[in-house]
Amino acid sequence: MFNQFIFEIKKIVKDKLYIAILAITVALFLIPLIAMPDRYSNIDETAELEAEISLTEEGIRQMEEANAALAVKDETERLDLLKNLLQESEGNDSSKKLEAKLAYEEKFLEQMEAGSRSGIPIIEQRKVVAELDYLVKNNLSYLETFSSSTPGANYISNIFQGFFPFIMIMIIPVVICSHIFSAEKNKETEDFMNMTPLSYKILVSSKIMVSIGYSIFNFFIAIVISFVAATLKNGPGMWNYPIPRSEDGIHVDVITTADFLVKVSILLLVIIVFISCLSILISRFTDNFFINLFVLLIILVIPSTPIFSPDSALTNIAHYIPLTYFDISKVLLYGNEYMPRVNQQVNFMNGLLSLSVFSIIAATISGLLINIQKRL
Amino acid sequence: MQVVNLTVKFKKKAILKNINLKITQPEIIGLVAPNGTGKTTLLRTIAGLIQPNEGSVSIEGTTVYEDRETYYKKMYYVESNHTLYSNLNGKDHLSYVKSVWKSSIDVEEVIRKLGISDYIHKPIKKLSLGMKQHILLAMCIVSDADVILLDEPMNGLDPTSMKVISKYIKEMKKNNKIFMISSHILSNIDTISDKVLFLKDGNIVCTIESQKDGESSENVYDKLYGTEEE
Repeated sequence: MFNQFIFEIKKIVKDKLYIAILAITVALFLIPLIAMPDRYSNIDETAELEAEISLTEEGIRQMEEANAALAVKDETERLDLLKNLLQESEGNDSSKKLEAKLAYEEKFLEQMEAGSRSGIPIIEQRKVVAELDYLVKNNLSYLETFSSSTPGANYISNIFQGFFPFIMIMIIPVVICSHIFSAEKNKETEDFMNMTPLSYKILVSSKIMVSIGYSIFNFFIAIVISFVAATLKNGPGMWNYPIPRSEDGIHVDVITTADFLVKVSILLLVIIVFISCLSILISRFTDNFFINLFVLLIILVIPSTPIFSPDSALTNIAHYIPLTYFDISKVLLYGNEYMPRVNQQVNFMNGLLSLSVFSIIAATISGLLINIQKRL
Repeated sequence: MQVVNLTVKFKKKAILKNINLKITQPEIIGLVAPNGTGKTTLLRTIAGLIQPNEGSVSIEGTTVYEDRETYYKKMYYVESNHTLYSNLNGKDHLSYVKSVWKSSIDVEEVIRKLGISDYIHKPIKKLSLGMKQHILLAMCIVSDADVILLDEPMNGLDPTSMKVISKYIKEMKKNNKIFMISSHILSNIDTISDKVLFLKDGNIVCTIESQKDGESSENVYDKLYGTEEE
């Protein structure tokens, strides 16, 4: 088994295609660091607050003319908080600025829940407040996320929070697995492999291990390089930075960046195992790399189609289907008002279970077919 | 090695019909026939790559369908250089064969004796046809398998290389190996083979022991298959 595993690794290491895949993965992970807009500057923030203050003052003046005393009182409270926020923004005390921001956002939420103000969906505003509240209680600084100014740990977290579509991440193991399981036929070495005095179990297991191992290696190298690059540019970031989420659409909790990334790693591993097992199953029906790749790509794309929307026919059973868990961000952060989960049973534990079970099923069926076909 | 009533059909047409063959001692068997008449089919069937419609092939009582690991431990088939991995080098292939066939053959000695040290570390894709053929033959030597099937092994080899390989094959026979070699180079077949089998219409129609009988394969070939002039 070990010798076969080493031989499979040699095939990968000496093939320029896999080096190209690694280079593309690294480039993909670095693109946001280079291409995203830079930090929201203090000047932009001050200008925005001043504009909001002007609008609010004008709004209060109109309410006073309309004799809306309660509304005036309410808006005046918000105006005071806005002015306080502007004052703290112009100062040097970041913790006071954060407290002022929290107070303001809490007021904003209060008004939204009372129906006197509209904006982003209420649950999203609750997440804003939860994040700020966590920062203040734990004496952490506010970070500009999803920008090229995001520091190391949080930059990596952003990549898996939806910096780009999950398809762009998942396509990497899809290409790797498709190629590994169809390469023998493409290169006419299948006959040689079929005549080795090794069991099919060893031959196939080696390929599965290498496809999983190399996929993980790709991500590992890309993550390390982009973490180092983001750290050199913006600092290491905070592993305990909060990421707010809502499981039921009403209550909000937070998950730390470290916790999120640990779960991302585990879920990503299980997804890669599933893709590998699926690829070998597809290879039982076709030896063609492009067909194997095409079928996997179709499977990859399905979760982002209306078939997997919350009001589709699949809603009630989607949490049993492994494809549901490809969008890691939705699984771990429960989606959001704009892109909700397909149902509330889609979560980390169900993801592990569904992906594991279907991986075993795919691998078992592949094993049976290999024994019947008596070839790799 | 025993071949019993072997029949292989392709789209209802019989390529091999009731082939019977029994080899009980170390021998070098030549296999001769025009292109497209079943030589490769016979070798691939013995190698377990084609499932026969009828009959069986066994090595020391084991068929490939009963116990493929044991069968392939005793057998090595060399077909074409397309079975080499283009990005790997010859040493990668030889090391792999040694480890998987659990052979005690010294890889470095094989490299030295075949004179392939100059290019053993070059990627296969950078080698000429003749060099690749050397690597393939080195692999079958390293495997130390009891039954070695070679499909036109002298293709692409210069006369010196052919002599080296032929000598090596004869030496290996002394180590209790069975060889079955298909070839169009009839003079070479006569030199190295103990017996030469001639295939026609899916059957073994003639067997000669060229070194004993004194009859050349070329003469038999002309008689059996004729020429355009005739």
